[in-house]
Amino acid sequence: MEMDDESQLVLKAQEGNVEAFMILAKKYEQPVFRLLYRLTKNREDAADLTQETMLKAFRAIKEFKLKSSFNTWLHRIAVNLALNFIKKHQNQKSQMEYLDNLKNEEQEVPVFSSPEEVSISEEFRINLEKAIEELPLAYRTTFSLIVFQGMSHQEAARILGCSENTVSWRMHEARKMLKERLKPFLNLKQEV
Amino acid sequence: MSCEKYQKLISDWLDGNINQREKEKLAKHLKTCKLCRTYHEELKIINNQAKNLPEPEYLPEYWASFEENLKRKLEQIAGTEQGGKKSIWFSLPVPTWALAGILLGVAIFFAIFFLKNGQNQDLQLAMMLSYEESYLNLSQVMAEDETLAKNFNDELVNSIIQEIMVGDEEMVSPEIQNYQMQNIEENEQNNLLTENISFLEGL
Repeated sequence: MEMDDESQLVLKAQEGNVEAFMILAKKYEQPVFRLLYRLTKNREDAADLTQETMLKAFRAIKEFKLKSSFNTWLHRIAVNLALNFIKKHQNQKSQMEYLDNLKNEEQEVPVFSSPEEVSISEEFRINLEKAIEELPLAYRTTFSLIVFQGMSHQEAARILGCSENTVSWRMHEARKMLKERLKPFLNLKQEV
Repeated sequence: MSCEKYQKLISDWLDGNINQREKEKLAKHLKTCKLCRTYHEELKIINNQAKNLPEPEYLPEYWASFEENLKRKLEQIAGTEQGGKKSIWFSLPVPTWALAGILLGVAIFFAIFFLKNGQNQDLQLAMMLSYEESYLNLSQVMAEDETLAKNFNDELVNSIIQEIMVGDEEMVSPEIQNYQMQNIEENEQNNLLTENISFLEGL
């Protein structure tokens, strides 16, 4: 689907054409779902938020002036919904749950079935996922948009409502945090 | 430029957010700095591994059901919006509604006020006509019956005297008191006569 076709679909959707909007929704539902999963870490929540994103986009599409791509606009809605959702759920998280998580982290010691590279990759993958999940929310969101969604700094800045310099700085900081967290695994991986 | 700044450039490079001049500068630095070379290698591993993390997927059946559900909800929204457009009343701004409400309130107030006033005037007129009619009837009856006329006049005078006596009995002159007593006696006789006549008429 070319941009001109997409603009035509947007214009039709602005007139209340459900079929036109459904074509756009089918194109973007899975990328939006994947981003929401990266942010919420829960399939059901991600699916619910994907639907909510589409409904909100349809209600607000008359306000979309086509100054950015539909993809960017839709991702902005999705990110805002996800951030509100996460903040709401973080407030509900009990102190006990938080302490339990800390306790479990302390007990976890990386175990390798070295020297098999496959096993190291698996361990690395599990720890990488966990490290990304534990990044501060603003860094995790930026990292997800750039690395998982393959967006440019400019697009991410538009979605997050910040400058490109902020995006660049957050990516640098996020990578430093990940590198620090994965230090033991990186040494082993390089040795292999 | 410090290594910290070059390391930020490495991050930008991985994201494709670096210009040609910066790229050349960075490449030159990496040739001479082992620390930044290692840093670059480690970030490349993290980036590649992150991009290859398994994606959460749902089966196509799930997405078919998702789309069906979504379409139904979108049609409901579109239907509601179109339904709202048809009615001009719902598109009116709030101040128009407020003004209409005030005007309606004023109209109801005046309608109730005038209706109530009109009803009072009619009632007063009816009562006046009723008193006037009664007075005419009484005048006609008394004109035909001298005794009745005399009794009515005496009754009227007595009632005036009684009103004065209730105020202060000492202030009533003896002439008036005699006149009153005489009339009371005559009235008693007349009353007995009237009662007898009525009794006979009733038979």
